[in-house]
Amino acid sequence: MNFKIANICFLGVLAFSSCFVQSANSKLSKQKIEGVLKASVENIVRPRLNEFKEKAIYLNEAMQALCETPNEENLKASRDEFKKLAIAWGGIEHFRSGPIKEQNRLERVLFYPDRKSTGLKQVQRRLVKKDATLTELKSLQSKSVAVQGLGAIEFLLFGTGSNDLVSTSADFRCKFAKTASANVEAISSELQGSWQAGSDFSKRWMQAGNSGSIFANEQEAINELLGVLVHGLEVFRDIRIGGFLKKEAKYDRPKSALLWRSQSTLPVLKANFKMFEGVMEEGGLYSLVEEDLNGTVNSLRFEFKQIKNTLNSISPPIADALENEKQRAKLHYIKNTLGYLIERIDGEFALMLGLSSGFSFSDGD
Amino acid sequence: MSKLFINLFPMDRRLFMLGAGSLFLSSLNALGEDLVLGSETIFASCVKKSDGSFGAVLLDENYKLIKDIILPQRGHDIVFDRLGEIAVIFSRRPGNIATIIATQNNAKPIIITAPEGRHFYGHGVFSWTNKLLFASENDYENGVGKIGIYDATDKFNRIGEFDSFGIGPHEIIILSDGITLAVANGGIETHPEFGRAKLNLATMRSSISFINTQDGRLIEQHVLPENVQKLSIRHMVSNDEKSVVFGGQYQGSANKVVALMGNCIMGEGLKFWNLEPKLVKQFSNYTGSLAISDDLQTVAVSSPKGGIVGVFEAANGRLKNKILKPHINGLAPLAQSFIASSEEGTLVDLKTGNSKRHFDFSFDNHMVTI
Repeated sequence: MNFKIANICFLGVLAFSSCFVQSANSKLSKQKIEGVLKASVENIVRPRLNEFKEKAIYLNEAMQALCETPNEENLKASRDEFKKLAIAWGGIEHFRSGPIKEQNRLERVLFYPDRKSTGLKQVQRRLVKKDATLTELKSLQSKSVAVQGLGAIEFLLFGTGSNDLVSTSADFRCKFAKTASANVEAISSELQGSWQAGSDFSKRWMQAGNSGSIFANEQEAINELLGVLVHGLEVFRDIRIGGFLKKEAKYDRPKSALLWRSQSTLPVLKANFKMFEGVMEEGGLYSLVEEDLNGTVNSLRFEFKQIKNTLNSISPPIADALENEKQRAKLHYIKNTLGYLIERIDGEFALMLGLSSGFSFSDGD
Repeated sequence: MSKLFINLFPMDRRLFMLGAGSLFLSSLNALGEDLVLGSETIFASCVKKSDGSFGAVLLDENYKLIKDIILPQRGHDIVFDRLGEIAVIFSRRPGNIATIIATQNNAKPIIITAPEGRHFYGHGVFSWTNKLLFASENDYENGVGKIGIYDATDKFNRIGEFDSFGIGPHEIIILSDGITLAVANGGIETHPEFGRAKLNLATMRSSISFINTQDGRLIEQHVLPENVQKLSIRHMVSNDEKSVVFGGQYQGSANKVVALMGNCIMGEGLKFWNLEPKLVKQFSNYTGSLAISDDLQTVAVSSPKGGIVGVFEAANGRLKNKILKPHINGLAPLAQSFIASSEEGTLVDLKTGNSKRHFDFSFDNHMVTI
């Protein structure tokens, strides 16, 4: 991508956005909304949860092999499977609706941000103590969310002392990581089961407001879907990128980046963003627009593409990208453009779906 | 407020008067001034303009626009002093400014900012004597709620603070004894470094604290039970000298429908209203704002997400009326009814369901009256 051109385009669209856009669709049909809910489940949620579960099983199997036969090859296999699982999780984690918000599943899979390094401290403390209760699934599931998921597994597989996993001397460490992997697999199973075809939950979620529906009415249903997108993009910008990228390079915090030890930060960011774009495209949100006098859909598509291309042009690890002036500038471009993208979806696009100014679905107070 | 208490909590503060030509404009023409002085009631709300900018408006008893203020950040609640002469417009979290305006003349607004390490949560209240302004604030480095104290008799200097005894204090109100401050601790930790993201949903716990404003002492506190651990109490009205009606916002899955409203009575605790499940579901796990009638008997509760406003008996939650209209959030009492404001810029009389007036701006979360 020509980075200068991208910036010019960004400014150009900014100017366009100052125009107030009237609501084109004052009311969407129930049928149309249900079509989009169905497409979101079938094209986004289910395939991505299947992927997540599959990768969780593979990691669990790899961990079992490592703990049974600790050696270089099995450690590498476990590390590779972890990276794949992180990407699979990145492909669905921001679809925060339904069972992911129950029983703290979201935090149990990934406790982040961890501003005070609570999770790391807990894992390190328990490693020293060799707390045997962490090597039994039921027992682990009753512990702090910070020691149950990907953050803990990553430290155990990639953090200080992880190379010891090639020998039996790190038996406790391996069993702890294996149990956490089993926990993630169990959660992936629960999520997949809740959303699978024919499940009571998914049937109710795909109805836009009637006695059997999860949603009180059509408005709430479309609010939920658009909310998934807007909240997800906010988290992506403020926490996932904002967590390590600061205004001045000297304040950057590469070691605060998500899953930096496994060099998964950028791959997960890319998976995240692919899902956001997917919600609009395969999920069918764009298809709800009936009249697009200002070319909003094309304009949003352009912004998504620009961000995606820029993101794809940045090379891991994140610490190196931050050291490189051009790559760092790209990250800032992405962060700035995301703000603009969120504003447009939250305002202009929401108006086109008859959702007023976006006060309600974007966030309450 | 004792001098001892103020000395115990010395605080730095930043305040500046706005000069001519400033970004922040306030307009009140001669006609507007007459309207204010002649109006028995003033309504106020923060708004979003059609060009995307933010502001606040004052309306007279006939819903005519009499004051239009441009704000640098999105506002949230507006609080009046007890004479209705001063209005304080709080920024929405994580904003750190509050704009103070005179309602009856064109005096330049004053902007106060939360001190370093704090931001406002969008709500505040004047003391019974009008001398102090209390504001709900976030001590975000320590992840705890604070109540900032500002001297309304001295350019709103920040003169102290006390604990909210929880995380994420939101609406705060003073009970009719003039001393007890009720605080809705939403329970959600946020940090401006992470925008509006909620950082502790797995462990959040919301509560209502009753605090003695004379010394900052906790009188009593009522924490939500485990089965509604993800419910965040945000707004309240006082319906009795020792009682508030509260409304919450559920942070869990839409798959679970939870009770959102109830009474919290000093000496007794929290009691959720026993509403029909179908009605509860219509609120979509979200209440936006509450208003209470002048006789303290009736409460209106809005849910812009569910597209409903319910009118209830304040003491027990018995449903009196409901209006199904999308995007209504702000509520304020009328003599025999309530006025409701919508994101579409419409004002609706809840008794008749009729629109009273339409504007080309969007009303934000809260509508207040004096």
